[in-house]
Amino acid sequence: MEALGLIGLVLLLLAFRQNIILILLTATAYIHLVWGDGRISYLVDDMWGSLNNEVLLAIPMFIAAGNVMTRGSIAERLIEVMRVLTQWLPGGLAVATILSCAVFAAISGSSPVTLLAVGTILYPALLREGYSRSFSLGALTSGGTLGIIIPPSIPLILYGIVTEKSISDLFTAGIMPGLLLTAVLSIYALWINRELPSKPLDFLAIAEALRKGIWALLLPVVLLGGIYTGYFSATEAAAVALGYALFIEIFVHREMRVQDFFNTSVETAKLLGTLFPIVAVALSIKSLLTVEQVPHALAEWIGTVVTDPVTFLLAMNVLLLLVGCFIDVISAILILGPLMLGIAETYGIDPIHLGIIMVINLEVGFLTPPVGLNLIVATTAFRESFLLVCRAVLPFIALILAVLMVVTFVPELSLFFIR
Amino acid sequence: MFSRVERALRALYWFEAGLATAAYAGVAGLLLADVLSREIAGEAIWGAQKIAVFGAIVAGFLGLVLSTASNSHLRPQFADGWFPRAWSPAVGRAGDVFSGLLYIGFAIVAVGYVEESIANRERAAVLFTPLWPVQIVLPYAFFSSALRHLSFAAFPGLKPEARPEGG
Repeated sequence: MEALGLIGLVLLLLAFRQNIILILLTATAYIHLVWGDGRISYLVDDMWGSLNNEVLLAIPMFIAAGNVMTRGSIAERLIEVMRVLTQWLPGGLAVATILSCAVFAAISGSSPVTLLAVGTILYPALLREGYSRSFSLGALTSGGTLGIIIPPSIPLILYGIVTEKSISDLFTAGIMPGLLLTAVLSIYALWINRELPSKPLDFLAIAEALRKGIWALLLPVVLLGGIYTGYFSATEAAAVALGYALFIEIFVHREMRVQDFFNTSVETAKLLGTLFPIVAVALSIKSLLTVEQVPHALAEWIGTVVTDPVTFLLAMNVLLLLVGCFIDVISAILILGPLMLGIAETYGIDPIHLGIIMVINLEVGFLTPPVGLNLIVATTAFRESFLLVCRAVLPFIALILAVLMVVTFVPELSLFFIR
Repeated sequence: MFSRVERALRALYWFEAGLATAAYAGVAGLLLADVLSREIAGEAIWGAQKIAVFGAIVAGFLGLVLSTASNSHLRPQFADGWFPRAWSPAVGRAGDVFSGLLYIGFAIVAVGYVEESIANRERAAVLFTPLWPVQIVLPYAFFSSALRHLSFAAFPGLKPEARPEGG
């Protein structure tokens, strides 16, 4: 009966168009009242306890660094580097699209921002050079999602926080799957557009593009190098990323002024304002579930139904893909992360590997209706029909799912660098 | 009346945005100084990380209000069609009243939490300063968000077009 009450409450909030923070806050308050100690003040107590944590500092710093780097002409500079490096290939601009998305996503950390920044420049260019509308939409909409797995990735940070695992290890584990995904999408882009004409390599143009874009290109190298060699912790890497981004924009590109800094800070605060309360509430739910031994009970129950790790991994992938269709990646990671971890550990699945599998699964959620954020952004930004965008991403979803299967059943791909 | 409310909300927005920016600049400055100090002087700045955490909490909760003000919170939209389309404006306003009341409820709970913190003389780890001056941002953020939603319900023209953050 109490469970029905919770479902009814959530449905009522959804019908009256409440935001995800209020839905989570109200549902958690209900859980505290009905199954907890009957005091809602514990919710606020848990929220404070969750946020009063140094590890969380990495999030605002990476968001701020991404926001600083995505102002000005960074996208243009990166795209130019990728364009001149790939123009000798038939379908080179298609490959440049995927690579630009991968690099820009690694810098901005946001899928919709990547889609908008790269798409605004490359969508008209792709159509002009004879690439099909469907392919161009699919490549940009799907390429934007690469940022979720390529470090620094906010969902990976959140998974690390909620499961108390090393964020540096998660970042390192994301490198190979991220590169594999980029490579697979690039090869597909080449294959589909193999009939299109290519241009000769222009070494002068390459040198000029590298001169203009090298500072932006070096950010992922500095970050990943620092984390991989153990020189930075995730929080330190985030601070270095922000310092580096500010240095480039103020002193090298000279595109950031005081007003820009103010606007960037407000944008970052807004993003943080949508993220921090969700993190706080989700961690409160996690504490309550742990006290009530829910993950343990769930693991025991699933153990009686699913007997081997392969079946569990397949079932988990299907569940996460379904969840990704309806819930945003942040809420899904925070709520399901601890539950899945409890079960996965009983099957001997490495927690870091599990994090990578979860994040790739939820990446697909950016591309699936009804709440696929990239679908909505692409429909609005490129003024195309929702149906066309949905159809355009289908081959890319199939490729991401194929990579997901490889990542799921070849743990070494994720764990090679951390073992 | 509409324009007076609009002006007041805009002034409040810029005040909160300025405060969030200051908090953010403080967090970034402290963390960068901390990393540099560790690299150059070989030791961290005392309390820097803790102060940065508090700055991030303040910036985050002010961000909650700024997101409410600019209608940019993440919101599941698949249930929007559950009511007939003709009812949409009324459902939107009812939703804002709902949100306002919920935020007031959470603000009251948060006030109780801060009062308990004062009564128990709770102090920050490392810094040993009272916690309540930072914790007060929780009820403030909830009250300020409630004010926004109730204003949107009273004057729907004040509500900006939805522009969800995230990803």
